[in-house]
Amino acid sequence: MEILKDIGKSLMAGDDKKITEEVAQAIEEGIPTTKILDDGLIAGMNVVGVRFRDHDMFLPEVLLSARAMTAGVALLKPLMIAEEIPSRGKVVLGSVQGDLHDIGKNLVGIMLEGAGFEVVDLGIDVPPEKFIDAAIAEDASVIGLSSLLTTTMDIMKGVVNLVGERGLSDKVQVIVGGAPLSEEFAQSIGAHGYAYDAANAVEKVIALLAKD
Amino acid sequence: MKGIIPLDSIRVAPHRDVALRRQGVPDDHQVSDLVEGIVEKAASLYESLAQPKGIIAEISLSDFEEVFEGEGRNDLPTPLQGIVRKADGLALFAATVGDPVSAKIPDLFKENDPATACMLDGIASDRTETAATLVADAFLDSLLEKGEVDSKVRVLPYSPGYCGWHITGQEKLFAFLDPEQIGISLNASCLMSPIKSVSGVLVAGQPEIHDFENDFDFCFDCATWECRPRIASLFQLSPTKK
Repeated sequence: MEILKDIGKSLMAGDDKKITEEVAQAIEEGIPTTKILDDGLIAGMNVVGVRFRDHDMFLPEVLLSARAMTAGVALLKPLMIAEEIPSRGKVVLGSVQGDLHDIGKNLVGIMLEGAGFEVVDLGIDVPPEKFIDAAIAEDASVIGLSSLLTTTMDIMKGVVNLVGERGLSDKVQVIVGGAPLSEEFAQSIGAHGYAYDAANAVEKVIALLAKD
Repeated sequence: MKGIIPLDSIRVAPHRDVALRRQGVPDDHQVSDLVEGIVEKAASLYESLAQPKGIIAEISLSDFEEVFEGEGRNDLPTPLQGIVRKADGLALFAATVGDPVSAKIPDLFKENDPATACMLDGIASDRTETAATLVADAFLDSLLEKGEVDSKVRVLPYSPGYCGWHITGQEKLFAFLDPEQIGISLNASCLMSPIKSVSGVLVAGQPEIHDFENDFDFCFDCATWECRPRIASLFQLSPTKK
């Protein structure tokens, strides 16, 4: 279907106006909602993610694509609700207690939504208990923790420990990211994953959920 | 030297190349008209919203050591303890590009304009770092004018939250400096608001005093090693991780 290829191309170009027209056209043509989503929008975003990883696309271009994705999904949302189409999974996200930085966390949220995940963004300065409570209330499979400050890294360990203490180890996985962090740090606190950037976070969440 | 420093020169946004570089875009990458539009929009927003200001107060070594001790939570030993003892001059400082710019960034995310939000964030970060450099330059100029240092002296900023100086050190720094005068406050976690602000101590001294080996306990948990290019810039050497 040519229109789905066009959607993918417009998405890579970050053209939200064109995406809106093309998704509306695809709906008009009677293409199933899941096909528009999977073969048009998500397929396009997957290519964006790969090109970003390979340094063939850069942050401003990726974010324009993400905005275009949001515009396209907005048209599909009522149909997805009506047709009860499930998301790929739910991720609770936040900058940990003591940290007011949110750029990295916001980028991860945008990229996850672009990949078809539902994101519950708890914002900044989030205490450990709030992550756990939200994961339970939202029935989320993944908690994503962001921190830009070395002084708040200990809070991440607190969240990982609480997952165990609240008996959620079999249901909820924790992924961490932020400039001062590393794979070694993630392992040392018992987190299930570490992401070095927003695109990598999507890959890691997909990999974590595939293991389930 | 003590007082508020107007930083009018950073009311202007940086060149587009700088803005794009801060987003990780290499100089040789051809960007689309849409991206050029984002750069222009973010620069225009910055210039309409920026309210840059700095504040500085010279401080004696003994007073600084009291400030540095903070709430007693430093990860001792730290390189700064030795550096300040060899300094020719010390001053506490804070600088900001103001609240309206910092507040606009989350607003842009809410308006589903993440590209402009990130571009504005990068521009504001660049200008905040430049603000610290301008305050440091003003400090050096005042020391040179008074004949207290020679022309080889360099000034580097050191901030709570880095290299063993615990973030709670902000409490005493703020009590001494009073950055509320330029609109910077501390929250319960000792983080500054507006978020595009910087604070710390300016250390004036010969380049050699700023040089240290990155083998302190906290260095092994550090993923950035930003100290290396800072030190290298004083000697114009290539930065390397030890």
